Amino acid sequence: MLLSALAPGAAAHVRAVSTESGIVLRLREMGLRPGALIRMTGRASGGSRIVTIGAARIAIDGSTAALIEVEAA
Amino acid sequence: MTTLNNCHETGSPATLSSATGTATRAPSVLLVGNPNVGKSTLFNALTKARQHVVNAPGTTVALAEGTWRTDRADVTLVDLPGTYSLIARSPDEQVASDAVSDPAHDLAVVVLDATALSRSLYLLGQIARAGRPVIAALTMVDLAEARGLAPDVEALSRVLGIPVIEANGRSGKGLDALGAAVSSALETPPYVTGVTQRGTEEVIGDRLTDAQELFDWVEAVGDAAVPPSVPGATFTDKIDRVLLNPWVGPAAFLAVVWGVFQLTTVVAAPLMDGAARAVGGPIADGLSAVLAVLRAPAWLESFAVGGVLAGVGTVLSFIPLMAIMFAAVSALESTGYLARVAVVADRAMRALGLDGRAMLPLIVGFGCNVPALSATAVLPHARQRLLTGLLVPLTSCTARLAVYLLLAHTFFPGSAGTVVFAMYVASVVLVIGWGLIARHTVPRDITPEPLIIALPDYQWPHLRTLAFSVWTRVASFTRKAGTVIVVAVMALWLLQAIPVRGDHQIADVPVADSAYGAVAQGAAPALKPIGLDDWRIAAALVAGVAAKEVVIGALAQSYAIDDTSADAQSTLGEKLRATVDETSGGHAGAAALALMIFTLSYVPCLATLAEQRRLFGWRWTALAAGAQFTGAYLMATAVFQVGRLL
Repeated sequence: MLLSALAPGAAAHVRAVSTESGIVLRLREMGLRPGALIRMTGRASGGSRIVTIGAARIAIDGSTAALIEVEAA
Repeated sequence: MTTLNNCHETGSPATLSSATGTATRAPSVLLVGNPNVGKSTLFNALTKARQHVVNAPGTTVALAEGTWRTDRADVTLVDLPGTYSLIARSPDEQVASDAVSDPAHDLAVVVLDATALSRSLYLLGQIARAGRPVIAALTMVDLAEARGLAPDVEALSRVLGIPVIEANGRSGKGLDALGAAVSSALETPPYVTGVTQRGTEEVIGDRLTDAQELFDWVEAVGDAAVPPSVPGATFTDKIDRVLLNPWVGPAAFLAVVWGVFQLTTVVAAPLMDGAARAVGGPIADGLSAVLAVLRAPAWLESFAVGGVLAGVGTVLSFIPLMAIMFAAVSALESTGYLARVAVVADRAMRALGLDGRAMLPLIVGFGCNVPALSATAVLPHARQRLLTGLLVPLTSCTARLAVYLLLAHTFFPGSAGTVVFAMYVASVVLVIGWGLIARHTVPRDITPEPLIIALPDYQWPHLRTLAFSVWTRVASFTRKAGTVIVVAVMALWLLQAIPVRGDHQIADVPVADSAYGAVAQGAAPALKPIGLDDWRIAAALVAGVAAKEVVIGALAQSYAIDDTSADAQSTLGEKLRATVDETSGGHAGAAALALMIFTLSYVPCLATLAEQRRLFGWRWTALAAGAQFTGAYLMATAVFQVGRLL
């Protein structure tokens, strides 16, 4: 499933990101690496998603969140 | 590049530039870390007041540099821009990346955020790979502890092979230990183990594979030092549920911006007036009295009071305003709210290729453009700051409102309110229009990157850090923008004081016979296409460069109306109406609208220009002013030419 479709509170493992390598790299630098355990914290204004990785929290815009494939944990 | 002298006598003689030079310099230590990891708080706690702002070599990226008195020696500490990676995506990140690979710096202190350790470790890994000696300061341990995720400091130090010191800039914890670690590291440089060293530019294979090697190392270090845990929702998450809520979020953001706007207008106004009144009243009287005792000639007194002191007074009156703005920006930044602004306003600003945070300076600009320019500091990327800074002068500040009011009441007495409102709409349209033009022309590499931003935990602002930050920025404004303002006000005085015809003494010249009047008379025919070919209007526009509200005073002066009572205002209106009726060939309404449009955007005021120069340099300031003037002239011409046909 896609990260953008993950329900608030749900946990998942990152599987793959399908976009240009520069953005993939930035996402990985921010912790969204294949296998990483994440939790969907919620949806923000403008369609952005708030995701928790470990104790860190990041916001990703809706269209980028729709490029990230995850597997429910 | 610019190297500035220290603004404090206690400062160290070493600067970024001298780091490449003399043998007797203090060792240079870099403070590197992700954004929002408590790096600047640490910097302030370590250097106290012994700090100042410098530009990174060849850039407009401002860095704080200070002297750190460790147990053994003084070192120069440089607070680099926060970055997640040495693979730079903005000029600010490039500055950090360049500094790290510059051998002129002796040591890097990498700030590791205990709440986002793997992100911090990745940056540390990149620095280690560049082969630089490094030690680590671990911050935010209390926050990580609260979530059962506190790293084991000893295990971390062991697995990394470098000293790791738990430090807290707020409480002062661990600062002495950090100092001691730095002194030892300067004698015996420590290097991270487990990472293969190589240059920063050298990439093996593609970037992703290359980074993967570091990610694997980060995972291994994390496994050794961090307890495994998936934390639940925190206090910050609960606040975010409100502040980032699709409905409440934008309203909360507007409330915050409204608060900043009120601070820079309502709260700052009496302080600005007070400063201006003190300079214009008691100080000016005192100076006149002293010059009278010294039997100074009348022109000298006029120059001292009307030129030098007026310039100094302008700068002084801006200082409380700037201090308030800097404090507001620093507070928003240190609470962690600013990162949320980037999320909330993302959609709205994205169309202009701008970060959501650009909304803040652009709204503040409607109060006053000068602090709005300073507020561009909220943007983490130099090009974003530049583009926003070039758009700020198009936001219609309150000084321009005074001009609209006079013109609207004079020429559109029945619908003055609508006309003034239309000017604000025009201002917003101009910002969007110029923003789109600039996005597709000038700074070409502003592409709307996806929004991927870390949201730090909410924290109370740290007052000491805030005070230092306000102090260093106000000092920089006063020194760099202040001098330009004083010189320019003196130049305007000269123009008005020098007689070019008739038999007049210097500094006792009727406006029409001064150099200023001559310039206006020369320039007036250029206003013909706008229907405003009159030297008094041209003169008022020239004076408006000093400050927009001066336009009205300058008109009154040219029409030789002395007092500023309500009667005089309506007299001025009548005289102006008579003039414009004549110059516009009976289309006074169209010409008045054109004049308002022209006033809105023909050129930023002196203080705005000086602040733009401080932030972006002369070249951009001149280019933007030129483009703005041309645009204003063409628009005003179009408004008049179309308007008179209707």
